[in-house]
Amino acid sequence: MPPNLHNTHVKLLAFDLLSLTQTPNPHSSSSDTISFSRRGSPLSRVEILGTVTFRDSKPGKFLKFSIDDGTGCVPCILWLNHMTSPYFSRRRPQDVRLIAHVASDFASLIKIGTVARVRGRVTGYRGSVQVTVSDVVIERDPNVETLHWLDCMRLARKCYDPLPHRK
Amino acid sequence: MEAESPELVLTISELVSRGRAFTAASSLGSSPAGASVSHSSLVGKLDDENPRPKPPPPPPPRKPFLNPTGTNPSPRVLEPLNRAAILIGTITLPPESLHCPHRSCFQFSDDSSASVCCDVLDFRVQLVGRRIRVLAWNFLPLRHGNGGFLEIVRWDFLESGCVLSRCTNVDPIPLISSLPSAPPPPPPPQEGKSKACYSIHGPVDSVSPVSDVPCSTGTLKAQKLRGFIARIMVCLCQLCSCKEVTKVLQNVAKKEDHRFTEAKFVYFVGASSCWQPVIMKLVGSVIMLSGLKKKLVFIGEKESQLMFVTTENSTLQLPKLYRKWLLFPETPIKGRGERGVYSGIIRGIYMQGMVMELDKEVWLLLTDHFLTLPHSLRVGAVISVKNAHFVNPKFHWTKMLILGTCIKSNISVESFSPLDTRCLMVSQSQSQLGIFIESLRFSVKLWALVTVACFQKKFGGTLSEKEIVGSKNHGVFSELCTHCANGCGSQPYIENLKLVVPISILLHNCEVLWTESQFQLENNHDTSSGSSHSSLFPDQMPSCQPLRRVFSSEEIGFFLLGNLKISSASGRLQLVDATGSIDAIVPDLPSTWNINTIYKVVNFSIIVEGKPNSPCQSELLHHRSISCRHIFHLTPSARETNLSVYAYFCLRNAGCQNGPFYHSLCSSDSSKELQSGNFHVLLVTHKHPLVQKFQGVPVISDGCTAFAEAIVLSWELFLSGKDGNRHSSKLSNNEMNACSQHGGYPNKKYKSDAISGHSDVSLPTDNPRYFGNEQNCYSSSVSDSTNSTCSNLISPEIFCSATIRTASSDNLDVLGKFCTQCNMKNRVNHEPRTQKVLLEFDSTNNFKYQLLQIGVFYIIKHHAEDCLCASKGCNKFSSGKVLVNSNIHLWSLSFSADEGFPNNKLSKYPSPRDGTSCNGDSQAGDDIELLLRNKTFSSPEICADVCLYLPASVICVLEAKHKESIGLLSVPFDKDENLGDMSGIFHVGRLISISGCVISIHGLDCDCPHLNSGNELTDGIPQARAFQGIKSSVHMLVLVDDQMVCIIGSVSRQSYPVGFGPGVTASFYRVLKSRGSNRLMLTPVSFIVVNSIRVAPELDADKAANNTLVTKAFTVDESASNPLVTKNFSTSSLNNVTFGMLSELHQFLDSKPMRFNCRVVSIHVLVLEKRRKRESLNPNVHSVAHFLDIPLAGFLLDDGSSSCFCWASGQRAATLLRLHEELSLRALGGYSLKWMAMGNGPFRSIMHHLERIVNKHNRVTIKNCGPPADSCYQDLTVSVSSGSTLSAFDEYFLKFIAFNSCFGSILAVAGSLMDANTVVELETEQLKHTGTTIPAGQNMWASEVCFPDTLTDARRMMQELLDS
Repeated sequence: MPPNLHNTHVKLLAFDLLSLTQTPNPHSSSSDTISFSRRGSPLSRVEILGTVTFRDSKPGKFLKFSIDDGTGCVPCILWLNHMTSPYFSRRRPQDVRLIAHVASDFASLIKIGTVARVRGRVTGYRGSVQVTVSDVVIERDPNVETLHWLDCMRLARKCYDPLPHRK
Repeated sequence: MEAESPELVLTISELVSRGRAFTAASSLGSSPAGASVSHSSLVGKLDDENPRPKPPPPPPPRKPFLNPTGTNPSPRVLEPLNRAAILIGTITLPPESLHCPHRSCFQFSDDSSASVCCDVLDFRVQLVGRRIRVLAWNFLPLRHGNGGFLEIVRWDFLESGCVLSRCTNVDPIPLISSLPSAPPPPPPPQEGKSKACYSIHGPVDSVSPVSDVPCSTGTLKAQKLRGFIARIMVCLCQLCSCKEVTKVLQNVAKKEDHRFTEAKFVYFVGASSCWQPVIMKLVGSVIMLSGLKKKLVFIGEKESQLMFVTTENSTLQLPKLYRKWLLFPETPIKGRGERGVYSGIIRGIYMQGMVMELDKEVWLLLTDHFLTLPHSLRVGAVISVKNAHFVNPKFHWTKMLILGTCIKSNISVESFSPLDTRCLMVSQSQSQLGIFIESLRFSVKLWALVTVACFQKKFGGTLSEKEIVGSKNHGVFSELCTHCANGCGSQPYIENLKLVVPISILLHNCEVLWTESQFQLENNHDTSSGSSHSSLFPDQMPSCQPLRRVFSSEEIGFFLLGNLKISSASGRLQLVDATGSIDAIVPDLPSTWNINTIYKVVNFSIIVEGKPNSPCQSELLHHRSISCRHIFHLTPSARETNLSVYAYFCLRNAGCQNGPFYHSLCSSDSSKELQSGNFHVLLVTHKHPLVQKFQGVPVISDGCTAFAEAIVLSWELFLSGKDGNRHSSKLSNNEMNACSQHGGYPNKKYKSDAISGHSDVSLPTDNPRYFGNEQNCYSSSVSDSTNSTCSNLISPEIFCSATIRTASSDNLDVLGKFCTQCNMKNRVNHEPRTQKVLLEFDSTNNFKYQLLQIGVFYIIKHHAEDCLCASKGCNKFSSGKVLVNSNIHLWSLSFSADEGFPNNKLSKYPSPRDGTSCNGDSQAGDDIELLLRNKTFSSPEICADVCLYLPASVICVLEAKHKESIGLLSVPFDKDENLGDMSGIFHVGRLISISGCVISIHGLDCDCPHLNSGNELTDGIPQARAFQGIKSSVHMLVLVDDQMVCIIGSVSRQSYPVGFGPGVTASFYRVLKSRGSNRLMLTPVSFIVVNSIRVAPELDADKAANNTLVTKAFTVDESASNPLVTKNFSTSSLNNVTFGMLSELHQFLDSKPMRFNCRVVSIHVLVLEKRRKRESLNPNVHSVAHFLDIPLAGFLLDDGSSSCFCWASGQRAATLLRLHEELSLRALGGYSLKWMAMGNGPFRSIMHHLERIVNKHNRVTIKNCGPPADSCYQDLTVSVSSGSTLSAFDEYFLKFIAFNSCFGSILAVAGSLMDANTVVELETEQLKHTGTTIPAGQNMWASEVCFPDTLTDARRMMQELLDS
C-alpha cells in the first residue's frame, strides 16, 4: 500500500518531481484541477533545494524562478498579489499584509546563484509541473545540498517507494 | 573480690579538692555482679555507632575514643585513676537547702561530711539512706553547688545481708520519717490523720519539677509550699480499688492484665517533696503510695483538680513482680508528634543545653523549662527519653528527626559517658526570646534555635546567650494539668521555614551543590561538558575551563543576611557577616547605600564557578546537605577552595533588617539635599582600575585613592523641591509650531519651553584621544542628525519633572529645570562647555567609586567653592580634578522621554538593556537606552536615583553626547585600516573600547587563571590575597559581533570584575589596539565591565519532558550570527540518539527518544509568559532569558517522510521558534522602522520586544486556526491574559514571530512519541487555558533541539545508503 504523503512536504529531486504523474481532478476547483502522484502515491506538497538559475519578477503580481538541483530545473512561482487577490479578501487586512510582506521578503531572497530551499504545492502549468511556493530559505551551508540529495534518495528508498527499490 | 585487692578509699573532699574529672570505673571487669553497663561494653557501643577510623589514642592508658559529637575535635576519655579506688558513703535525698540549680539531685555524702550531687545507675529505692560502697564511678568537678558531681556506675551495700533482688516486695518506706536528716515536717495540713487513708498504685507516668507554690488556705497564707506532682496511671478494676493496701498488693499480683488508664495526680508536698528524684527514677515503674489524703486543689481561680496529697504518714512501696509497665502502646510513629521512647547516645549539646544531637540527625529539644535534666546528660552518655514527641520537620534544607520534649517527658541516663565532657548546666533564666521559643511548635522551635545560632555566629555579640534560654517557675499546675488539652501531641508541618545561615556555611553548601551538579552532569554525559565553547577551539581549550552553575534562592533555601561592604583586600563588593563574605553583584545598588545596614536578601542567585574534576571536590560530597551541627558548631576555617562563589541579587528585593526599609539615599540629609538645589551633570567616561601598591597589601588601604574620569555636561539641573510651584508658561505660536513639527505637542503637565532657531548645543568633541575611532564612526551621523532634528528645539531652560528614589518605597516627584550654561548673549560664538574632570576618591569614599558605572550620568550638588564651579569661571576645563569626599554625593541620573511627546519613538521603548554597543549601522537616535548603560538587570526607573523626564529632543542631544563619549566599537578591525605609525619597542596604537562575549581565557604563564577566588574570611588572611597583584599574562578570545578578537594583557587580577570568565559578555574599556596585529592589549588603564554572565544550563530545565537527554543543546546561542559557531555547535550530544524518520515514529512506542532532521511547517499553539520564579540574571544571555518563559509550544514538523506535532517548552521551543536567528526587516513591512536594530544582535531585539509584550500582558497565546500544512497561509490569532488590547505592532510582531519559525532551515529534533495518556495530560493540564486541543495524529515531545551537523549527517546517510 502506498504511503500517505498527502500533506507531507515530499523531498524530491528535480528529475523525479518533473516526472510526476498528472491526473485531471474533476472534483476540484480551479487551482487544483490536476492531482499528482508518484508511483501511485498521491502527493501535493514538495520541498526542493537547489541553485536559483532563473528569475522573472512581476512586482505586485508574482515572481517566477527556477531551482536547479543538478538533476533538473524546477519552475517555481511565488505569488505576490496578496493585497489584490480575492483569495484573501476574507482575511483580516493586517494578516494579509503580513503574508504579503513575508512573500515579498522571499522574493528579495531569490537571487540568481543562491542556493534556496523551497517548499510549496505541486501545481501544473501548461502541462508541466511547477511549484507554487510557500516559503523560501536561503541556505548558506554548502553541505546541505549534498545532504538534501542523499535525503531524497534515502526517503525515496525507505519511504516513498511502496516496492523495494530496483537497483 | 574487691575486698582482697588493696583498695584505696577516697573521700569526697579529696575529690572536690582535686578539682579534676576522672574515672574509677576502669576496674570494671567481666564481673556481672555490677548492675550497670560495663565500661568496656560502653566503649564498644560507641565504637559501633561510629565506624570511622579511630584517631590515634591519647596518651596511655587512655582508650582511643571517637568523636561522637563533632563539638570537640578530640574528646578524651575520662582520666582513669591509676589504681582501684572506692568511695564509701550514703546517698540521700536532696535537702531543701540544696544549692544545685537542679534542686532535685541525689546527694552523696561520706564520712568527710562533704556531699556532692550524684546520679546512680540501677537505682533501687532501698539505696536511699543506706551506707554503700561505690565501686565504679566517675567524678566531674562542678563550679557551683558542692563542687562536683558523682556518677555512680556500680555499688553495693556496705552492710552485709542487704542483698536485694527484684523479686522481693519492698517494705513500705515512710516518705518523711525515713529521712534521717529531714527537717521537721511542716505543720500537718489542716485535716486530721484520719483522712489520710487513701492509697494509690500504678505506674508513674510523669513527674513535675519541684516548685514552690503559695499556700492559699488556712493560716499559712504567707508560706510557700514546696512540692511536686506525679501523674500516676491507675487501674479501675475491682482488685485495684480495694482500700486495704496489703490486699491490693496481693490482688494485683494475681492478675496481670491491669489497665492503667486513669490518670491521678499525687502532690508530694512539704518534706516529701525531696522524693522527686526517686519518683523520677521510677517513671514507668508501678509504685504504691499509701497514707494519702484527697484534696481539691484550685488552679487559678476557676479550675480545680482533685489530687492526692502526701501526709507525714505516707509510704512508698514497690509491688513485687511487676513487669515494667509499657508506657506507650506500640503504634507506628509517623513523625507527627506521636509520643514514644527513644534511646541514643548524646553526640552534641548545643545552645546551652536546649538542643542535643542524638545519633545522626536526631535532635532532642530541651526547651521546656519544666523539664528536669540530670547533670549526667553529658556528651557520650546513653540516654533514654520517655514521652518524647517524634516530629519529622520536613525541612527542605536537611532531613532530621526532632524529639520534642514537654513537661511530661522524662530523660534518664542509661549509661554514663566515658568521655571527659562537661555536665549539663542549664541556666534557668527567663527571657522574651525564651518564652517565644517555648510557644512554638517543635519543628519551629528547632528552626528558631538554629536561626538564633546562625544569628549568633553571623552577628556575634548582638544577641546575648542568656536571652535565648528561658525558664520560669510558675504555672506548673496549670501547665501540667492542662497540658494534654493543649494538643502537644499534634504537630502539623510548618513548611517554608527558611534559614539564614552564616555565609561560611552558605559557601560550603554552594560548593556541595556545585559538585553534585557536576557529578550529575558527568553521569548524564559521558563526555566532558566543561565549557559550552569547548567545541569551538578544541586545540586551544584545555579541559580546565571553568564550569559555571547558577543556583536560585529556591534551590538553596536560605536567606542571605549581611552587610554590603567593599572588601579592602580585593576592592570588591561583598556581602559580609562575621563568618565570611561572598562577592556580590548588585546591579541596582543605590548610590548611597549604607555600609552599616544589614540587608536581607530573599531572592538571589548564587553563581559557582570552578574547574570540573578537581579531586578535592569529591570530598565535599561526603558532607552533603547542611546539618544543624554545622551551624551550632561553626568553626570558621580558612579552607582552600578552588571554586569561586558569588551572589547576584537586586536590592529592590532586599530590605534592610535594621532601620528603614529602603535606603536609596544614605541618610535623610542627603535625601533632602537631593530634593532641591543646583546640580552639575556628569557623565562617567572611564574608571581607572584600583591600583595595588604592593603585593599582599590590601587594595584599599589608608591613603589609597581611586580615580574615575567624567565629563561635566554643559547642562545643569535645578530641582525646585517637593512643594515647588509648577512651572507653567504659555507657549508662543512659534513654539507650538516647533513642537508640532517635531511630531509632538506641548506637554500637558509640564510646559516645555521651546525656542526655535538656535543650534547652540551643537555637540562638542572633547577629547578624541581615547575615542577617536568612535568619533570616526559616529560623529558625522550623530551630529548631523542631532543638528537637524534636535538642536533647533533646545532652549537654554527646560522645565522638567524628576522622580527621586527615596529611602522609603515611595518615590518623590519634584519639579526642576534643565539648563544649558551657554551664555545667551554670546550665542553666536558660543563655545560649548563640556568639561573633563578627574574624580578622585579617597579610601573612605571608595565605595562611591565602586558605585560609579561607566556611561551613566550622575549629578553632584553645586557647592560655591567646588572645583567644578571654580574652574568654570576661568574657562580652564582641561585639568579639573574633583576630590570626592564624604560631603560630595553622587546620584545616578536616568532620562526618560516626557510623556507629552507621544510620537517620540524614544519613549516607546523604555526597557532594560545595557545599550553598550552602538552599531555604526544602527539608526542613530534610536538607542535612548544607552543612557541606562549597565543598568542591565532591572528597569531604569528603579535603578537610577533620579529619573528626569525631558523632551525627546533634549534626550537626543544627551544621547548623542553619550555615544560620542562612551561608544563601543562593534568591529574593532577594519580591513583597510591604517594602523598608525611604526615605532620602536613601545606599543603604538589607539585606545579603544569594545564589547563582546568572552569565549576563552588562558593564562600564558599559568594555566587557567582563576579569577574570582575572592571569598575571604574577614578574620583571616584572604585566600585571594596570594593571587592578587601577581600580574599574569592573559590571552582572551572575545567574540565581538561576528569577529573573534584576541585580547592579551598583563594585568593584576583585581582588575577583573566579579564573575569575569568565559561565557560572559563584557565591555573592555581603553584597550590598546596595537599596531600591526589583530590583537588588543590590556593596559594599566583598561577597565573591564561584565555586562552579563552566561550560565550552564540547568539539569532540571524542563521537568515536563522526559529528560533522558539533558538540555545542553541550547548553548547554540550565538550560532545564528556566526556561521563558524553554527558549524561547530553540532549535535554532539545527540550522537547517541537513533536517527530516524517521522514516518517510523509510531513504531517506537517505548518512548525511547529518536532524532529527526526536520523543519517547522506551522505553529499550532504558542504560549509566552512572563517569567515568574527565577530572578533574571542577564539579558545578554542568548537563551530564553530572564523575563520570558515559553511554557508550551506546539509545532507541526515535517521531515519529508511524514509530519507530526511536536511539543516543546523553554529553550527547545525558543530554538524551534528561531528566536536566536536573524529577522528579516523587510518582512516587518511598515513596522520595520519600529524595529530597533539594537547593537547586541538580533536575539536581543527579538527578546526585547517579546519581553516588553509579556511584561505588559503577562501571557500571550498564539493559535493557528488555518490549515496546518501550509506555512504561509497560517491564520493566526493572538490573545492575551491582561485584558488590555494588543497594539497593532505587537500583534503583527507576534504573528510574524510565529510565521518566521516556519522559514528556517532544518533542525535536529530529538524526541519520543507521546503516549495517549501523556497527550490527554497535556491537553487537560497545559492546553486547557489556551482553548485549543491536540490535533489528531502523531505527537512528540521534543527533548532536545539543535542545529544539525550537516556534514556528519550526510556521511552517515551516505553510509546508510551504501549499506542498504
